[in-house]
Parts: sequence; C-alpha cells; structure tokens
Amino acid sequence: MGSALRGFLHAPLLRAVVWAAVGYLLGAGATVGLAGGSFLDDLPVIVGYAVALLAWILGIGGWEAFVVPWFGGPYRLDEGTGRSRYFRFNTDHKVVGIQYLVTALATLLLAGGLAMLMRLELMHPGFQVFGGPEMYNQVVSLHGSLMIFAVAAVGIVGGFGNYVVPIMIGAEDMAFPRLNAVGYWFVPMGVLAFLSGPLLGGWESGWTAYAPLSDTDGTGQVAAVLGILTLGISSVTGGINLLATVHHMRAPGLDWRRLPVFVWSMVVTAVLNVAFVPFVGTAMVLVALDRVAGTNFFTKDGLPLVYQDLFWIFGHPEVYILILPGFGIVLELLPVFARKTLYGYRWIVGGLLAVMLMSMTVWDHHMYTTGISNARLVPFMTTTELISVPTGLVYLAALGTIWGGRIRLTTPMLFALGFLFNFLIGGLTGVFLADVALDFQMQDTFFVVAHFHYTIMGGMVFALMAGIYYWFPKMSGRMYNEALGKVHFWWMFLAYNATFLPMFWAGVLGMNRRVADYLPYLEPVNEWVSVAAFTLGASFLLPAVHLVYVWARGPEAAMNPWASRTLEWTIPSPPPKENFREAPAIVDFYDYDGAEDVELPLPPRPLPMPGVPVPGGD
Amino acid sequence: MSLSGEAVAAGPGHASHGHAHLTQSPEEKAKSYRTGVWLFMFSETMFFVAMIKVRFDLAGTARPAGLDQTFALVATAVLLLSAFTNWLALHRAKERPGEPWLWPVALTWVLGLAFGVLLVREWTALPVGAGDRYGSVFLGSLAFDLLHLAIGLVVFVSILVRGVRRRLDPLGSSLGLAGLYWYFVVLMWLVMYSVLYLV
Repeated sequence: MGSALRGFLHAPLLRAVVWAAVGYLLGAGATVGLAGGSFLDDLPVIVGYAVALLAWILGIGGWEAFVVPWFGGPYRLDEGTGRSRYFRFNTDHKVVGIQYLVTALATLLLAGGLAMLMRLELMHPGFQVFGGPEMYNQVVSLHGSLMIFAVAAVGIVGGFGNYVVPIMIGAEDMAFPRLNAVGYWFVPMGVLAFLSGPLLGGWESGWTAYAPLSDTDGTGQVAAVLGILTLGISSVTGGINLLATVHHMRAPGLDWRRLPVFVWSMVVTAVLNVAFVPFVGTAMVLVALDRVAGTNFFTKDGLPLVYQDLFWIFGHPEVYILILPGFGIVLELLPVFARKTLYGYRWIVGGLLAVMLMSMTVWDHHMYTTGISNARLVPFMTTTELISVPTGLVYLAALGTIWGGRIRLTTPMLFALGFLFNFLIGGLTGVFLADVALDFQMQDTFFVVAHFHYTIMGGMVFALMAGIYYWFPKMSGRMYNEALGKVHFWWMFLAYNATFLPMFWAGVLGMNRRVADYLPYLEPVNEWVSVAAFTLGASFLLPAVHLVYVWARGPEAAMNPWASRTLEWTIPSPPPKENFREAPAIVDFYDYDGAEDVELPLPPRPLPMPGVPVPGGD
Repeated sequence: MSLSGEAVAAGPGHASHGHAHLTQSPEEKAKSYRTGVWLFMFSETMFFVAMIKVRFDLAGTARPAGLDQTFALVATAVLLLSAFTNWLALHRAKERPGEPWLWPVALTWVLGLAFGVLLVREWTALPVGAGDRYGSVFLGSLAFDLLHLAIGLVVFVSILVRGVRRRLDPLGSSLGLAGLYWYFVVLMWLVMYSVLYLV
C-alpha cells in the first residue's frame, strides 16, 4: 500500500485539489466582489464551484490531455504506472473502470451508513438521533441523491461498462480514451458537491429536488443541483463514448447480432443517458436560475408541475438506466453457470430495445396524485402496465436459460439468482403502483420505498455484486474465497429481504416516507425493519474486508475460472494494456450445449487430462 | 481455445473494418469522432427540446407586446451570415486545398461573437423582466444559447491557433467537426428564434 499512498500524494491529484481550491476562492471571491453578499450565498457558490470544477479537471490532467494539444502544443500526458495510475488522469479503459467501480462502492458504503442513521431514527416513535424533522429530511435527501446519481447510475455503467465492454467486443480501448478518463474525474467532484450540502445547511427536497421546495430551500440545495449537473456530464460523455465504441470498435466478424447481451444492455442504457440526462440538466439549470436570476419557472407565477414533468421525463428512463445493466450482467452470467445456451437471445435484445423505447412514455405515473388532468391518468397507466410485457420477456428468457440447466451455485450465480428473486418482487409491486386507484392510496408510503429498493437495491446492487465476484479474477488476477463469498450472499440476501419485505406491510399500514416520526401503532414493524437493516448494513463489511484482502494477497486465479466463452476470458488476468495481441476469434458466446461438465470455479492451471478441456488455455 | 470451437467466418461487417488489426487508422478515428459529435449534438438537442416544452407549458404561445422584431431579425441575419462563412471555410479546406480558409473561420468567430453581444442586448431591451413567464423562458433560452455559442467560439479559437501554427491534423477533421458543430449552434438558434418570436 506504500506505493498507493505515494501515488495518492503524487503531483496530479494534489495539483487538482490546489487548483480547485484556488479556483473556488477566485470564482466565489470575484462574485462577492461584483455582486456583494457572502461567500456562502447561492451565486458565489455556483460560480465558485463552476470555476473549481474546471480547475479540477485541468489540474488532474485535462491541461496536458486537452488544452495544450488543442492549441497545437505537444501531447505529453504522464499516465503513471502501477497503482499510481488509479490516482491519475489515465486513458486505459480498465483503469477508468476500476476508478468508477471503487468510487461507486465507497459511496455506497457512505450512503448506506446514512441509511443506518435513518433506521436508527425510525426505530421508535419520537426523535432519537436527529434534532428534528428537517435534519431527518436532509439525511434522506443526501442518502437518495448519492445512491441514485453516484452509485446506481455509475456503478455498473461506469465500472463494468468501461472495464468489460471494450474487451467483450474485441477492442483495444474505448473510442475516445481521453473523454473516458475525463468523464471519470467529474464523479469525485459530483460526490463532493453532494457532501458539501450539509456544510451549506443541507437540503430537504430529496433526490428528486422537487420544486418549489428546491427553489426556496437553503443554499444546501445548490450543492445538490451542482452535484446532479456534474454527474450528468459524466453520464452523457460516458454514453456517447460507449455508443461510438460499440459502433466503431467491434472486432472483425463481430456484428450486432452476435454482441454479448451485456453489451446490448449497455448500448440501451447509453441511449437513455444521452437522450434523457439533458432533461434533468435543464430542470437543474432552471432551478438555479429561479434561485439566482429572479426567474419564476417553478415559484410564484411559475408552474411547479413543469419541474416534475422535466424531472420524470428523465427520471423514469433513469430507472431503466439503473436496472437494465443489472439485467445485462445477470443474463451474461446465467448461461455460464447453468452451462446452457442463452434462451431467446433475439427476444432479449428485442425486449431491451422495447423497454428503452417505452421507458419514454411512462413518466406521469410518478405524478398521479399531483393534480394532473384526468385525461393523462389512464394513458399513462396503460403504458406503464404495458412496459411490464417486454420486461417480462427478458425475465422469462432468464428463467428459460436456467430451466433444466446444470446449475453451478457459485457466488456470482447466487447473486444473479438473488437478483431474479428480488426483481420479481420489485417488478410485480410496480404493477400495483402503476394502477391509478391503488397509487392514490400507496403514494408516498413505505410501499413505494420497498418497491423501488427491491428494483434498485435488490436488483441493481445484487447484479453489481454478481459482476464484482464474476469479474474479480479477471480484474485482479486473483481468486476470492468461495466460502466467504457465499456467506456474504446469504447474509445479504436474508437480511435484505428481512429489511424490505416488511416495508410493504408498513406502507399498507400507513407509514409515510420522508417523515421522521410516526404514530405508535407502527412501532413493531419499524423496530423489526431497523434491526434487520443494521444486519444488512453489517453484511457489507465482510466483502469490503474480504475483497480488499484477496486483491492484495489472494491466490492466483485461472485465466478462465468460469469456463466462460466471452472474449474477456480469452486474455490474461489482469489483461495487458492493449487487451488483445491480435484480432480475437469470434464464436457463438452462449453455445454451452457441447461443453464439458466441469465444476466451477476451475482451479488455476489445471492439469490437462484426457477428455477434459482446459478452458481458455492454448 | 478448446472451448471456443470454430471461429465464425467474417460477416459483412468485416469489409468495413478493412483489416484485422485492432488499432484504428486515422480515417477510422475521424469517423469515430464524427459519430461522437453527432451523438453530442443529439444530446444537446434534448436540452432545447426541454426548453421548448417549458416555453409552451409556461407561456403558451403568448408573446409580450413591444418585442423588438426587427432587432431580432438583424441578430439572426448576423448568425446566418456566420453559417455562410463557416460553409466557405469548410468548402475551401475540403475542396480547394490551395485557397486560404483561415480568414473565413476568423470571420465566423467574429460574427458569432457579434451575435452573442446582440443577444445580450436583446435581453436588456426586453419589455418584460425575468419574473414574467415569457421573461423566464427568454432568459433560460438565452442561457442555453450563449453556452452553446461559447463552446463553438472556444473551439474555433483552438482551430485558429492551430491553423496559424500549422498544426492542424492532416485530415482536417477537427475543422470539419468544429464547422459541423457551428451549423448546429445556428440551427438551434433558428429553432429558438421561431419559438420565441414567431409562434
């Protein structure tokens, strides 16, 4: 770890921090000088942050990577070696992928800790840990914003989208490696922007930053606006990069009809990011204008519902931005561990594309109770219930894949099956909420909280864990401990369901979300949920310690421990910078019908035996 | 590779890649960059789609009395002229290698800057303030337009500096992409002009 520490302290990151700090002082100072007021008013914070963000990007390496060559200077970017690469502007997609992944996981632990505080508060009626309802709302807002924008939207997309997709399509890197590198470095600033919220007084409008509260709330709200904008930039550049990569960088012979299904899920996600993040961007800019430029988009003379429209036109596709990559990972894993051909490849791709298109047509189901016209209710109820048809197709294809398979219950497979179990509950309860009459009853209760946690946490986070265990040997060259992995799964799976299943019940009983206190009759279910939540929170500590340890000290992994057929398993672990020495041979990635019956994971360097092939060997 | 079976014969996609080596040729890189800029423009278009939605949701088709139509038309004409000089630069760089293309780029830059100044003057002369619904929409649209204008102007500065230093890429793709983006800036203003002044 000594070299990691040296890497951390090495010039680029330190320079970026110094430049950002100076940039903030200059920007905010100039604004105060010109417009008056204090350093912590809205406008100085916005201008100071904008300058700081630019200075941060230039300081970390944007100066050498973009500015100097753009003006005809030489391209001299020191990308570092060894561990120091991870603390630098580095254009290797594998480094960028791990940067995203580690940042998202660290943020997951942090925002999960906030959830623990929330459960501590909700354990009993009255006030436990927070001074009052405002502080509870601020913690809820910070938890939600971090989880959605900095964990769920970037964990799989930024992590595995960057690490795995180029290798899966037989490319040496992304189409725009510098854009990729710079896209990552927006993320830590976005997280810092959210975290600076409490220092500025916090914000209470939740991850949705609903106007008019977001127009009138304290300066902490500005931090959320800036955080969302910053992470949005990263999502859009990442989406553009991924689409250009898959379109232009596929290896010879790999046409769209053969693409691995995870790559398809990332393509669909990228389209949604590129098309719909601008809507939340617009909403955030208009909130900022309302706050500092005297406009009335959403307050006074304006219309708060226009904010909700903009937000959910983004927000519902965003839900699929979070879950479709999860489906991609799970569908990628199921054939490997069921030792069986992927069932209905074309139906899956068609289903993903249909979900992508239909996700643009359902946003009003978040707004049934806001007083929108009755004429909008039934059409949106219909589209919302219809979207479960292509989602169901994808789901049934997953079941068809494991049906009659020779299932290997390794840790990644357990998490993939856990995903299927949890997502079924999350998806089916969504059909209930899509119903207007029922939603009038359930809106803003813990039924909704349980529903979206079942899709995002039970779905996306379980898929993320499946992906981490599955690709861990590829990324690190080392093998984790199966027993500890399985303990992690069962601990997390049981604690997860013990936490969130009773939340449906609490919601039906009338437990409101975003309220710090409740009537005493709700105490038993809340006590149970809190205790289960603490158990769930503790389950994350095991993999945190386990995976960090085996990354450094674990036993060597086989090149292809899962006897998998996709391209990332045909190259060494960890892969060399250029990934492939020559154009890879393109095969049917899911054809396991003739595959040998092997126990997984394969040990490193198995002895060649008659009749038992050495997967991935030469 | 005993598990991988037979390699599939290269399909029609193979020919377009040209060769089996994985590193992109300069021509292929230029194509990727073009795709990237198109995707960027698509994404940016969605900002304007959102803004147009806000305009009609908030203010319907109403326009305040006393809007200076002539002035807006002049500003629009200036920007259209910059689209012409932009075309001239692209045309010369591509079709007539001998002729100078730097001064049309410089002219585009100046006209773009002039348009930005006119747009800000337009805002200060508006008969309604920011608190008005139409005023809010106008200011929001102005913010997005000026941002895109600024991006275009910065890119042109880089093209000009590199052109003077004779360090532009041999394929001229940077100039091509900058010019493409400038057309987009012009087009988006024409749309916003129609939405703000003509409906």
